[in-house]
Amino acid sequence: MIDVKNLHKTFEDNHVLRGVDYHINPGEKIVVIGPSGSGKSTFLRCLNLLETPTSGEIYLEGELITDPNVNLNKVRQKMGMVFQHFNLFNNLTILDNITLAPVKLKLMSKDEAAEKAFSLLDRVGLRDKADAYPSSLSGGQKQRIAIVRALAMNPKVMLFDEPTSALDPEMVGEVLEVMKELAEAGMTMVVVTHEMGFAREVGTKVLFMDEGTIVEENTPDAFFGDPKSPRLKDFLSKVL
Amino acid sequence: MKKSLVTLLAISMCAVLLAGCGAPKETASAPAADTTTDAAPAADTASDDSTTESTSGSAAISDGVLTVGTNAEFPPFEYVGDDGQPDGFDMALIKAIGEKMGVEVKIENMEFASLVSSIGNKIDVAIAGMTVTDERKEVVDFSDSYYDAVQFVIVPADSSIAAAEDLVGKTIGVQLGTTGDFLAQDIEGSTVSSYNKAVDAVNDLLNGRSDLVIVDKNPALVFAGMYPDDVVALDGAQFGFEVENYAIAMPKGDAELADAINNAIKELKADGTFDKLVAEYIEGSN
Amino acid sequence: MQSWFIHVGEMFQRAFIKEDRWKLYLSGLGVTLKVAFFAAILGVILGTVAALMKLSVKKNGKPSVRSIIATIYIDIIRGTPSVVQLLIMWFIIMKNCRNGVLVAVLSFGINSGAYVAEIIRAGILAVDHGQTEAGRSLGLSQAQTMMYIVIPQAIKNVLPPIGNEFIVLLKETAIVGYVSLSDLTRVANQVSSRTYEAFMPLIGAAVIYFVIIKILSILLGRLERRLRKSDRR
Repeated sequence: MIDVKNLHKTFEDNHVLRGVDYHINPGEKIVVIGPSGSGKSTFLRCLNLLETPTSGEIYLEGELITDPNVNLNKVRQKMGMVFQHFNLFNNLTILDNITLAPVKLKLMSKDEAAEKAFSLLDRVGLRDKADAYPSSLSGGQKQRIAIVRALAMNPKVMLFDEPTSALDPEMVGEVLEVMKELAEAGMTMVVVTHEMGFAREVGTKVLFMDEGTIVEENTPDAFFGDPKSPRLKDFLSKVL
Repeated sequence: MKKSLVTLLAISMCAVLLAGCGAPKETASAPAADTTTDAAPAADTASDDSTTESTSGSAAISDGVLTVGTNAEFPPFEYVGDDGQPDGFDMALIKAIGEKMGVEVKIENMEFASLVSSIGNKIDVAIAGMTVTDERKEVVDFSDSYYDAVQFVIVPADSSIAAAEDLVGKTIGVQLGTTGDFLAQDIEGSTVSSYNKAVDAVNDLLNGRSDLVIVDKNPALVFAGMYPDDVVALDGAQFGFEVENYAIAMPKGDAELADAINNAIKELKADGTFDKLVAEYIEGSN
Repeated sequence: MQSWFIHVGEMFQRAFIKEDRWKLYLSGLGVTLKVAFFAAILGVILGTVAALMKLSVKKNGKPSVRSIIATIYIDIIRGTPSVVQLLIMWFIIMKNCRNGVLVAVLSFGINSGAYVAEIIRAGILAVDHGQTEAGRSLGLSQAQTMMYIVIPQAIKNVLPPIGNEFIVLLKETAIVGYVSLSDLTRVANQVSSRTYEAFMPLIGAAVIYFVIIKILSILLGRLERRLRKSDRR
């Protein structure tokens, strides 16, 4: 579904991604872990081209999306993204946050979008917040809305960039719960996180990134039970 | 950016105020309220001063300096010379008068419209090709007239304006507060565009924004000489404008000053200096 | 004391009542408001366009041609006095235009646009970049993201400084007398050139300006409070 070939990304003189190759199959839940500065967030942001790769190729369903002539907006409609800091639109109600993109991009009528929004809000238990503004919501509620907002576009794949890192500890669970349900429903997911429990439980593959490359990649059991590289062993000894 | 500029200005203005911009000399002993008043109280103050300071004569020149207001936008009577200082017939005349009176003459170049209201506070007298009018006489005194003038009308070279009735309903350019301004106001149906400088009024006549300009004779001839192909200057007599007298405006009731200035003018006329200045500045410019 | 009151009353009579002079102030105020109002509208339009131009970058991160043009416009306008701009507009650029109000509106509108551009640019930059990223990640274009997400939030940021700019603009129109427009300040000058008293006309003009600006700032304050409500609901 997603093919990444020899991906490089340089910020000024900081070489963040030094040749990443990976293949993601439909329905997979890829969990990316690694120390801060390892390039894992940059890797995720390159997938939907929020960062423009310096070199390398990314294919989405066979289409070369790193081609400068590709319509980025169309590509991004197929990839939902959830941010660490939620990034709900502060000027819009929850309902408008969810329906803005589908309506403005003429994918749905206003009524269809609202219907879809309410059914998604039911799934995350936040129907009563439809007319509220983001500033009145807790962090956990905001992140659940952010997930709903991305899902309203009917994406092929969902990207999560440290979705629980900015949350108070008591709110982490409610967000992970929504992500688990999404995984069970068969969504293809790429998740950058520090939640090792989530990686173990939900991931089909776990990647360890360090210094701009994928150092190790395995099924959760093998990844956590039998780490191969010394750097991963070192990392796991610190976080577990 | 704008804010910090304003702050800077505020600070520098305060600094100027603190440094002092000089108290008005002749009203130093007068009640504060009188500094903004006009005719009647000012006259009282002046006569009070003349009794208390009987030895020094006029309060205005008690410090040996005659501060003269003008508006150097009125060639050939006054204009800014090549050296950046006000020059012209009036400037030469007032300096000669100052010499006769034995005082130093200091020129303040300001807007014509504020000359009269500045007499007695910012300036002692004003010489600016100023016509003697009844309205002005209510506020200030005038010296003996030193020059007879008539308003002229400047029109585009192809204009058909030639008589009083042609002026009705026209757009008229004038310099704010001048005789031409007052004349234009009184013309039936006129739209008056008032400028700070007569030359701007002439510029907008050339630009087609007005139909005519009313201005004093000598500057009118100067402007017409500058644009001989585009405009003509017409004698105001053919529009029924009356002859006017130029004089020096002075604080009301200051008899000593008036005498001193009038005597100086008489002496200058008697010794030929006056005619020499007329020849040099006015006739030479035509 | 009593004679002082009578004296002030006479000055008032000469400055406002005699020969229906209050009508002059009224028409002067009309000119002031007309110039300020249309110049403010033009300034906001030009300022928004210039701000968006200045914010545009090329793919390689270097400033675009549009952004350079906007920067030059803002630099020139902010680097020259508005009275000089007005005189240039009047005597050089539009020297054949007989509609004085139009010339003044253009001059002040172009002037105000430069200041508004900087205000709007700062307001847009103050909106968290995450808002833009979220919009783009949903497939909205740069323009749609600006239109529906960033600018509505930027408006709240820029309203207080824009209101201030309107007030500055209104007062700055007092220089249109230079080009023979009879605005409020000019009318005060015209009256004092008739009465030879500067006190009443100038104080009168100052009071009228003050009242107008007070009303303007109350209205702007109300608008600001209404827009802020969406933060707290």
